[in-house]
Amino acid sequence: MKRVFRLPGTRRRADEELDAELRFHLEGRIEELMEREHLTREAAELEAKRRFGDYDAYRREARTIDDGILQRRRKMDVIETLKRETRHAARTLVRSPSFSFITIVTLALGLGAATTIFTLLDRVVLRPLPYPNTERLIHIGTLWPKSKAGEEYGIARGQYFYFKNRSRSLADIAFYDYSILVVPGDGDHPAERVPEVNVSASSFAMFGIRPQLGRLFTTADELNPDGDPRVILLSDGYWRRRFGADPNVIGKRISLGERSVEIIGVRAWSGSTRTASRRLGAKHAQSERQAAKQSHPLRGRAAEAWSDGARNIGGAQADPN
Amino acid sequence: MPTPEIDLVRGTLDLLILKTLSWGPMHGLAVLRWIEQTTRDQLQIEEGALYPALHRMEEKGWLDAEWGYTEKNRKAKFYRLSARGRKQLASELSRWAKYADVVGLVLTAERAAT
Repeated sequence: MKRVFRLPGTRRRADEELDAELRFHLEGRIEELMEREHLTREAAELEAKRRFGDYDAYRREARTIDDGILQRRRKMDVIETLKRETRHAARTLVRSPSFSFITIVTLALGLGAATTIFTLLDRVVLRPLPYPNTERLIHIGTLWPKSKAGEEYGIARGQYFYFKNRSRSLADIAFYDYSILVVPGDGDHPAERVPEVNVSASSFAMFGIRPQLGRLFTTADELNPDGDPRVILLSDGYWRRRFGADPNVIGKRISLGERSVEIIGVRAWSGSTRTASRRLGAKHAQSERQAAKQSHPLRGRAAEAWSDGARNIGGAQADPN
Repeated sequence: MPTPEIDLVRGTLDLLILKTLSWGPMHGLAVLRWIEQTTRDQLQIEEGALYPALHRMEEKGWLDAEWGYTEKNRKAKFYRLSARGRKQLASELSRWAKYADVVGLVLTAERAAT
């Protein structure tokens, strides 16, 4: 039997078809009854209706099922169309390879450019700090609103230890202090002024700093009876420039005139701490209205601390790692 | 007109329709006539019940529906058993046979075991 009518695509059409189907049934029955049992048209109609039962109820039931069929058919239609269009597109692309090539290259360049720009923006604007868990980093400073309005200062070492020992909402606290180290000349190198940062041992874990050679500071290195650091960690750049990337540099001493420091390690290169700190300072400047006009977190002493946020306030101090 | 004697057990209508359609595509009225003829009018079916059943089986994919013309050249909706419908028929037939066997065992037992 060949298909003579399209499958119903709309509710109205499905309705019409259902009515036609039921009418066909009743009409067929009526004719049959008139023919075989010699009933009048009226009597045959009544008998056909009686045999059919509750017309409206059955019609409604079938109607509900049709709705389901219709919905599924529509879904299948969409899938079919997608498949067909995809096949068609693929065939078209294969048929004209040069056009396809140009299209793909154009798209690739466009996507590449967009990705590159986003990556740049992401690095420079959206995610400026190269540290782990930056959303938990807070900056602790000192404000003197009455005498030095608008300026922010670092904290004293005593305060650092006070916070470190007493704070319960901070997972860890680190200390840093920028200054200039004067390294006297030796036979091969002239005397030079080198930027240095005095840091607490905790700052390495906090800022994700790793050694490429030797070791990092430990809390034992923080205990200097005379107040002067006795160990030093070289930056990658200084290690290459001054020591020619000598792998045996660990254990050597740098003479600083009346005292000397022992080289215990070389930091892995991970961008400039100074730049990153400056950015951190700028970030805090944005968030702290009082320090907004001029912020100098890099002068003097400052401390960075890791906040556990509201969740851990009152809890035990957690290891930042 | 003879009085129909047996009420249709629930769920049996589907099996009857499937079996009837296994002989070839038919419209609803033809399905009914076939059942009437083979049972010699002993089965009571409210005719309207046929249509929700047919549509439900169409929805389940057991039946394919197509509009065509009868031998009197009237437009009618014909139902045809699909491959899935054929499988369904086979499994329902074996279930029915098992059911009849089990019920038969109880009904023909001579006396309760003590």
